[in-house]
Amino acid sequence: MKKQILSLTTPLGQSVPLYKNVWGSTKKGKSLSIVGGLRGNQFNGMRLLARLSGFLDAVEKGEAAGFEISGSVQIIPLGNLFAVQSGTRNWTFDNLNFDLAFPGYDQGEPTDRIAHCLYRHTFESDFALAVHSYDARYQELAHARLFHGDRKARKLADGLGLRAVREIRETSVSELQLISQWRERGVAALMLCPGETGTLDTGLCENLFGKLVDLMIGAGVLNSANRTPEKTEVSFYSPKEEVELKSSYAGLFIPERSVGDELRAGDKLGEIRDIYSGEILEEITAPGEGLLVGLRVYPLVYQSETLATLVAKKSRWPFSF
Amino acid sequence: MQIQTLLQYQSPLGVPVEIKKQTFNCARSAAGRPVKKISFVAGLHGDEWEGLYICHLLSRYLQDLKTTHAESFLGEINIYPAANPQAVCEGTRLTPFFSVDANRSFGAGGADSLPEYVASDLFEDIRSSSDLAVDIHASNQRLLELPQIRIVEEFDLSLTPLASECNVDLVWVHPMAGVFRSTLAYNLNKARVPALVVETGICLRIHPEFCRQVFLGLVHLMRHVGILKGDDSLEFSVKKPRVVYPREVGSLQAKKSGLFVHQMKLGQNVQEGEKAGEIIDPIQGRVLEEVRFPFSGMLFTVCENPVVYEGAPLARAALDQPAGK
Repeated sequence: MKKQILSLTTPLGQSVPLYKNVWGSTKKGKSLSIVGGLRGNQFNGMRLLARLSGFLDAVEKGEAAGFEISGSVQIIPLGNLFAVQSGTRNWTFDNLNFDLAFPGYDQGEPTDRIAHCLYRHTFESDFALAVHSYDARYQELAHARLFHGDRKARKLADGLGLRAVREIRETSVSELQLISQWRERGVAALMLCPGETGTLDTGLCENLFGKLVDLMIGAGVLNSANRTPEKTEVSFYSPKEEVELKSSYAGLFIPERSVGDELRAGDKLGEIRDIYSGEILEEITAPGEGLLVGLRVYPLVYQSETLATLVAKKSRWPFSF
Repeated sequence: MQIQTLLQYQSPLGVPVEIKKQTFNCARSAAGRPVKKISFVAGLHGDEWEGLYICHLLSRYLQDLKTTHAESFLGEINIYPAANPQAVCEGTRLTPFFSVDANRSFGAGGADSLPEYVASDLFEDIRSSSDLAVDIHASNQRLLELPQIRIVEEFDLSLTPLASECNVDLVWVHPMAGVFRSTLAYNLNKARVPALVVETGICLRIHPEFCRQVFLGLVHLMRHVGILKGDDSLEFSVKKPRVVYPREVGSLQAKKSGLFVHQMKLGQNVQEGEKAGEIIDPIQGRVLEEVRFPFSGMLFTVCENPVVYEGAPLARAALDQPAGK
């Protein structure tokens, strides 16, 4: 069921509603909240949550044989309304990074109010997911992120069944993120990064849809007579098990691999060429074996920018980073 | 004066992006002996040009002083006039290309991206060059500010006496908020380098009278802490600011979205119930809200951008009576 949870008025008098979709009852079973659209250009997340909402509607109407909602689920598919409307990463009016606006303020400006509304509607959930991808200049492997050492979140990530889970450090910046605020309130919270920002990959969305259905079954908010969650080997990578490869030169970066590739030491990932002469300035190679989880796809690079992110279990690195 | 490039990285065009600082030494520091050091930082947000002009006034004064009264220099003075050069050149708050707020990049504990790496190196340079630092800002694109210094409550005791020597109209001691944890000044203060945050004027403009007032205040601050000796080339009286705490600040917010039209003036004393302006509906030709002050006090912030959403700050005032009394 689609419910309006906030209405904002533009200076020209138009109302802009914020909606959530809800299924089941919070009075029985566990509760799951999913929030997407934290930036205006995260199309995989939008598609994924629309697909999931359609499925849950069908379950509620009895049109999805063998499925039954056993707890409660709510999805807020578009958080950063005005950025979605302007088709930009941030809302151009305030240019604030919405992902760093939490817990928000209910008497503040639109960004504060939306952030507070999202927080208020979700912080009492047992489980929560922020569907959020990062920089449009990078291709990212679909993966989950959680704060390093968060056991509740690890268990939830295990149920999601994605190949890679990155455990991130908590910093002075990340404490303003929605998942950090959820964690503060004892919610088992994850960030689901659904691939690349600014593009739509329907195949990936369909795959992630299946993963979310499995997560809901595992979390006890959805029952299924027929479906058994697929067993996938999930690897958790601590901050020490990540390495970022940076550019020593500025120029045009031409990638030669794709995210998801398993690399060996010495494998070439791409090269940087001089924009004027075309001369190769630098070849980027893997320093050790690992899984490529992030790769620069926006070709213009500054010196010292990250070109690729590799993860590998520590025991597999030939030397320490 | 020496100009040093403390940090440099190449852009895709091959043009280096450089952060520079000016350093004014004294005879004692030139001889390698320890002296007090102060740093002035501006341009972390590239659309805040009041700070660049204040740094220019400082630099010009110090260069003249070096020629005429070299003995006046008792310590080391470092000026970072454009700490975020790319953003300054494009006049944007965020660092272009990366869309990152440079003043929300400090203290992250790592250097995962180029802006974080730059922030980390810049921080280290300022920290090691300062016994005292001043970070100069100009609010945002909507709010015009009377020259003031803002202090997070936990640093009140150490910073307020220093802030009171800066010739500003107001010192605002405010509560901590999560957003400050990643700012330059907060992290300097945590690293035991007292750091003052000046807010004055508004983005994308220069208010020469405000800049001159702050410039004189910073000269006085240097004299006060023993980095400069007084000299007869620049004599002036110093304004004692009003120091306000959270309950002594009143905020006026928009109850409606629309166009805010007002006649408020910075520094104006207003009375509770007095009309501040109107929020109008430009499509329907109606007045949506007759805005009245909910407090009596002296205005130190006024909204300059007429396009407002519900909840937008329209004015702030130092209250005649603390709230709740």
